[in-house]
Amino acid sequence: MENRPDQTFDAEIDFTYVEVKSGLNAVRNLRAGLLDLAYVLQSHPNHRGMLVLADANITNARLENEWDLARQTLRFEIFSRLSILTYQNGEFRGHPYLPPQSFIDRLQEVVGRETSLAGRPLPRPDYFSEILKLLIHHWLQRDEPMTTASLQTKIGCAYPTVAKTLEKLAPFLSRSSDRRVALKTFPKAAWSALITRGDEVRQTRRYVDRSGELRTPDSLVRRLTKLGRRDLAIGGVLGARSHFPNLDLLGNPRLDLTLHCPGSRLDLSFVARVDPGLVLANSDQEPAALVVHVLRRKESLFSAMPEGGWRADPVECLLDLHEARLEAQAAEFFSALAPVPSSP
Amino acid sequence: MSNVSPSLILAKVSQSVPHECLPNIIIIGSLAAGYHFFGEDKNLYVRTKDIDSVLRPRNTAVKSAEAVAEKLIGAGWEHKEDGNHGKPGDQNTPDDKLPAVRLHPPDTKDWFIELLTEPSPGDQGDRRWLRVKLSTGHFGLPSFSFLGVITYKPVKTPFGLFCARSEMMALANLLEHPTIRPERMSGLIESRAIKRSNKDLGRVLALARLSGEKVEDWSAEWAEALAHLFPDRWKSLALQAGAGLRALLASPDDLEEAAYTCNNGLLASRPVTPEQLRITLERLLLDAVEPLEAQARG
Repeated sequence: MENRPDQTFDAEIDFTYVEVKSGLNAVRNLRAGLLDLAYVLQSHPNHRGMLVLADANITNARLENEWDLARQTLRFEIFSRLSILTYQNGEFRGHPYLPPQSFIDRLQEVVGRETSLAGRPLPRPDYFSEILKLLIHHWLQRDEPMTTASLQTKIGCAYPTVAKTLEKLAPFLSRSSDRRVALKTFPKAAWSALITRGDEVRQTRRYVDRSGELRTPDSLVRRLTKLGRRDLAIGGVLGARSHFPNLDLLGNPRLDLTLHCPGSRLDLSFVARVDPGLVLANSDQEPAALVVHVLRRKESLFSAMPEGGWRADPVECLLDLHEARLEAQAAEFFSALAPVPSSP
Repeated sequence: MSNVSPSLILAKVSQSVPHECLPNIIIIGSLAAGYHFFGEDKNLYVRTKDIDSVLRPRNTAVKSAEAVAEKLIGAGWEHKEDGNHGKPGDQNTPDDKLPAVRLHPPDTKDWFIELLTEPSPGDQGDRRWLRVKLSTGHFGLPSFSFLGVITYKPVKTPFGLFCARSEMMALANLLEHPTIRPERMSGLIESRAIKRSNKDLGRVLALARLSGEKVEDWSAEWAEALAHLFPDRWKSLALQAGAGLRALLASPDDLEEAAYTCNNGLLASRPVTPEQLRITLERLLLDAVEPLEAQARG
């Protein structure tokens, strides 16, 4: 078995390029996976291509439909060398067929490697955004200016990265005589851009209920607290209300969590321990019961809640409110926290 | 299977049996579950045909059974004669071949009352029978090992008799089915022959689904009942309580059968897909079974 043919795919087994996609929940990713294989098969006429969907949130009917679409779209000479395998609960299922057991045994090894319980690989952190969030946090908290070294430590990045970011934010910064740095005004444009790119920067994952018996955010929090995790903090409406009890909102439509993940892998297996009824949403249009945002900097700035558990810092909570389209509440929260009368 | 109103049936049974026997009767099974979840709303129904009634304590159960059955027979109730063991026994019938006391009310054959009793302390075997001599012949009063779990701390109804608690009915079924056994029920459920284990484990899931977040309290109740009823072996029982559910989780076909029985029983008004039932199962494992196991491990 060779690994990563053309440095593109996860493995090659018996002249078959294997691409493993785990936790797939968007049809466009499935199509992209098939297309990637099809491109390569064009220049490798003796090879086959196999897309393995491990623990995918795609129904069989949807899969059949996509397979039919691929049949209609791709040339027969390419399509006939493609296949899709699903891998769920330790079992493979083939579209259109299941390969022999000897092949499956070797495939199992590849799938195991690519879907390691240690989590899925994360892209490089967006350090600009992490530094921006930290500076805003200090500004809201009226904290002392920070040294560049302190920023490096809290973010977990090198000096040039910090320096480059501070250069970009220079018009909004004040520097003290000892080179400490702080925001002097709120960087509205950068903040707006962060809100726009929030899902990407924070690797936001939305979960919807598939049980038919939706649990309340309070119920989810109770279960989360039982896990005793220090890397998970409550954000969103509950977190914002913890920082600012007068937040004007009746009810609480969903639970936002911030997962502190300074490393390079993302492990979301805790969601099933909070509620097995939650699965990744197929689209942004589905009303989420739980939304998980990933925090990449080194220091989480989580704080303990009086009733137990942890809450995310005000900046993460503010971003959560924007992400939930609770603009009025976001503005109210910001005004309550801002050191001077200001609007984001 | 018939649609019956829990409150109407409880009222009818309580009015028909000797008044002094009411505190000794515990209704178990679908009707007890229906009473808890559908309350006294006469417009809500449970699909069942047998009204299982446990007579306690065991040492007076035969006398109670004779008093209850004779009064019902005197009021026109009739023995259920169809099915296996439909004919009354006599003095020559071995105890384990005796038919159970099953009586239809005079005005309908849609449902019948069946009499049972609690097991002896420490009784670990299958069904045991106590002989009941009625004017109509010899009958048996069955008990089985985990019936004492079902009747642990029952709830008193306004009708004078008691109903088993949902969590105790669930626990008894879990203990009864540590595996999915292949035996299928002789009676069909909407034309399908269902494995007894799938029906009973499905019942557990239906009870859990209807109980909602109260399931989080079950492990403490279970531990208390097990420690009280089985002081010498409660930990090993607690540690095997989840085995049947885990077997069900690993078998999509059995889970489908369990969903089918739920949708033709307690969940008829709120049917579930097998996928939804799987989630209920996983939630039950997390919220009740795993905490019970943790308690047993100390």
